[in-house]
Amino acid sequence: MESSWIDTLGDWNPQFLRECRGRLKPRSVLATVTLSLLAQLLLFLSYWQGAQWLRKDEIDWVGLCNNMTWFMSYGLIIVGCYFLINDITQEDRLGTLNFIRLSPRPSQEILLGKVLGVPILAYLGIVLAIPLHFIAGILGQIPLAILVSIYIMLLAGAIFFFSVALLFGLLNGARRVVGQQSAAALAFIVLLVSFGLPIYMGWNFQSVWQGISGSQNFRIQSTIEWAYLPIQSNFWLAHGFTLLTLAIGTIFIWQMLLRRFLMPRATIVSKPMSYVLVAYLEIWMLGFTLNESLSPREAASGGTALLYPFNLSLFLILMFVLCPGRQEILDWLRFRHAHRQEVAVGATEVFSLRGVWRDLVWAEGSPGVVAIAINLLIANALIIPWAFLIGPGKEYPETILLQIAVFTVAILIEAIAVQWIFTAQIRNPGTWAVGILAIWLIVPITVLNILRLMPQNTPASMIILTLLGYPFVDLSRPLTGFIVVGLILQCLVSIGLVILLRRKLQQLALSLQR
Amino acid sequence: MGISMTDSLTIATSDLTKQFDIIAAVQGVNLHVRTGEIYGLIGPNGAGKTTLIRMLASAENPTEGDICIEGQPVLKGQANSEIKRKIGYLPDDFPLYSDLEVWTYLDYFARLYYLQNPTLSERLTEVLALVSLENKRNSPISELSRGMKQRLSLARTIIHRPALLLLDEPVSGLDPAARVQFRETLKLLQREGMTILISSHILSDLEDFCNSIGIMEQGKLVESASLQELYKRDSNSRRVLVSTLGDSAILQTHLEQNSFVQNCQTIPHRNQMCVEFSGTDEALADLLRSLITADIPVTEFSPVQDSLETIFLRLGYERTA
Repeated sequence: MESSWIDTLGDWNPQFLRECRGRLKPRSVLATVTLSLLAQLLLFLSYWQGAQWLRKDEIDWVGLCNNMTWFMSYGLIIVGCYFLINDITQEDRLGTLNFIRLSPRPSQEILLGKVLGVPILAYLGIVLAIPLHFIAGILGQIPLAILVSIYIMLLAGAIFFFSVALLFGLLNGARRVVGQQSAAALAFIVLLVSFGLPIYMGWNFQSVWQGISGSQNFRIQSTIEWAYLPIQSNFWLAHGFTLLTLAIGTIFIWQMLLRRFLMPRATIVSKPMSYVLVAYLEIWMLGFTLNESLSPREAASGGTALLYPFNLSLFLILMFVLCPGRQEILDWLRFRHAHRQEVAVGATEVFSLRGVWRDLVWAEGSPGVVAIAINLLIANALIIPWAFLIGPGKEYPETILLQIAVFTVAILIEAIAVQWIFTAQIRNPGTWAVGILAIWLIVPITVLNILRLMPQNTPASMIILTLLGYPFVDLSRPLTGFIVVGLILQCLVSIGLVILLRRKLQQLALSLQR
Repeated sequence: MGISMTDSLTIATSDLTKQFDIIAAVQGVNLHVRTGEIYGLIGPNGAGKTTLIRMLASAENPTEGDICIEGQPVLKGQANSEIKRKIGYLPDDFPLYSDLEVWTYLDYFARLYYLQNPTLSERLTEVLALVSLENKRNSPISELSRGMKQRLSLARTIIHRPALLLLDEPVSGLDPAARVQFRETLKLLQREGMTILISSHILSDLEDFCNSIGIMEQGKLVESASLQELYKRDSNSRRVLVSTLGDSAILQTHLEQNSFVQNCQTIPHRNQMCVEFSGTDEALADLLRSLITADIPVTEFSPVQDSLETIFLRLGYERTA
C-alpha cells in the first residue's frame, strides 16, 4: 500500500519524491514538529499571560490570530526561499543540476518538484500551526471568509516568492554573483525582509482584507483604486486583482526560469518577452494613478513620484537581464558571418543591413541596446498620453517632454555602457557594470551636493544633473536653457558610446574571421 | 576511417565546432561511431575531448555544426527529450547526492527516465548487481568509497538502458583492481548492445576493449580508425623476438644477411635479438627455415605486437598522458 502511493507520487513527479526523501528524515521532521509546536505554545502562553495581567476573562484571540498570520507568512516564505536558493545554488555548483537537465523530463516538472519539495519542512511547520490559527480566528469572531482568504493569499504569495527565489538561485549558481550559497540565500532574505514581504503583507492588510466586515483590526484609512476600480473596498475585486497580479507575475518568472534552466548562458529574458513585460508593468503601474478619490494635482504629483523610481529600477534591471554576455555576442557574430556567407553572392548590402536590424530587435545573443530603446519607446508610448491626460503635462507640457527625453537618453547611455562592459574581455563584467553605474549615478551628485552646486543656487549645475538623467525637482522653474544644453551633451555622449560599441563589435567580428 | 554506407551509426557529427571566446575548443569535428562499438577518445589535456563529449551529451551547445544520435538530429535550444532518453553520460567528476541512499538515488534517476514499477525495481536490482553494489543498497551515499561512488555513477548512467554511453575519463583515480572490474563491466555492456564512447589517458585499457580509436589534438580529430586498421597501418615493418641457446653473435650475423631485416638489436644479458622485419609472412617463414637449416638452436621466434602507445608515438602524435 505504502509503496503504491510512493510509486504514484514518483511517477507523477520524481523530483518531488526525491526532495521528500532527502528532507523528510526522522530527525528533521521531529525537529520541525517540535519547533512549530513550541513556537505556538510560547505565543499562546504570552497571550494567556497577557489576559491574566489585564485581568480579562478571555484571551485576545484576534490579536493571536493576527500575530500568527504574520509569523506564518514570514516563516513560510523566508525559510522556503532560503532552502530553495541554497538547494539550487548547491546543485548548480556541484554539477548535479546538469544530470537533471539532461533527463528527458520536462523542465517545468523538475522545477515544480523543487518548489513543492525543497521547502517541505517549512510547509510541515506551517500546516501544524493552522489549527491554532484557525481556532483563534473563530474564537476572535473573525469571519470564515477572511481566514480562508489568509490561507489563499499565503499560498499564492508563497508560490510567487518561491519562484523568484528559484530564479535567483539559478542565476546565482551560474553567474556566481554572490559567493557561497548560504551568503546568496542570506542576501536574498535581506531583500525579501526589507522590501518584498512588507510590501506584500502591507498590501494584503490594506486592501485584500480591508473590505471584509468585522476585521476592524485590519482597517487602515486610505483608498486604493486601479483604473478607477475600487479594489480596496470590494472583496472580490481585491482578491481578483491581487491573485491575477501574482499569477501574471508568476507566469513571467516561470518563463524566465524555464528559459534559464534549458539555456543556462542565455539572457534572462528574450527580446520579444521584454516588450510584453515592459508594456504589462507600465500599464499595471499607471493603473494606480487612475483614482477617483485623488484630486488631479494629487494624481499628477503622486503618479510622477511613483513612476520615476519605478521606471528607473525597471530599466536598470532590464539592462542586466537583456544585454547578452561576450560569449553570446561572439556566437551571434559568428552566426551572422556564416549566414552571410551562405546567402552569399546575390545578397545586397541592404538585405544584410535589414538582417542586422531584425536581429537587434528580435534575435537571441545580439546586443541588447536596440531592444532597450524599443522598450523605452513602449514605456513612453504609455507614459506620454498619461502625462498629458492625468499627469503634470497639462500644466508644464515642455518641461514634461524634456523630462521624458532626458530620462530616455540617460537610460540609453547606461544601457550602451552596460552592453559595452558585457562585451569586453574582463572578469565579472556584471560586477564592473554595477560598480560603474553606481559611480555614474551617485558620485557626481554627491560631489555637487558637498560643493553646494545645486540648481537652487547655481542654475548651471542643471546641465550636469540633466546629463546624469536626474529628475527635475521643481517643474515650475525648469531652467530650460540649461536642460537643453544637458540634453545635447547626453546625445553626444550616447553617440560616442554607440561608435565605441560598434567599433568593439567590428573588432570582435574581425578576430573571429582570422 | 572507412565507414561504409551499410554501417549504422550511433553518433554522426558534421563540422562540429565549439568556441570559447575566440578560442576553438573543438574545431570542425566529423566523428562517426558505429552502432555497438566501443570508441576510445584520446589526446593530451586540453585537446577538446571533454567539450566534445559534453556536446554529444547535450550538456553544451555547439557553436557550429550538427550532431545526429541514431540518425536523429539534435535541435538547438530544444528539449530533445527523445534523444536524451538514448544517452547515458558520465562526466569525469561524477557528482552525487550525499543526502540519499544508494537505492533511492537510483530510484530517483530511473523515474526521471520514465521507468515504472515493477520494471523499475527489477532494473535497479540488475544494475546494482552489475556494479557489485548489492550489499550497499541501503547505505547512505556519503559512506561509500571513491570506487563505489564511481560504480554507483556508472549504474546511474546505464539505469535507463541507453543506446549510447558517453564516459569521460571514468577510470581516473581508480586502483588497478577497480579498473579491471570496470573493463569487464564495459565489455558486458557492449554485449548488451550499448554503443560506448570513452575518453581515457590509460591506453592499455583502451587497447583491451576498444574497437576504434580517435585522437584529438588542439580541438581537431586528427585520427579516427579501427584498432585493427591502426595495427595494420604500422605493419609495413614489424618486430620479431628471436632467442637462441647458442652464440648470439652468430645469430646476429645470420639475421643480418636477410634483406628484409632492417635492424637487429641484442637484448642484454639474454641470448635474444629484437629484429625489425619488413617482409611478408612468407618471407618471415623463410627466415625461420634458414635459421634452422643453419643449425642455430632457436628457442623462440615470435612476432611482437606494439602497444597502442608505441604506435601513436610512432605516428607522430603528442603523448597522451
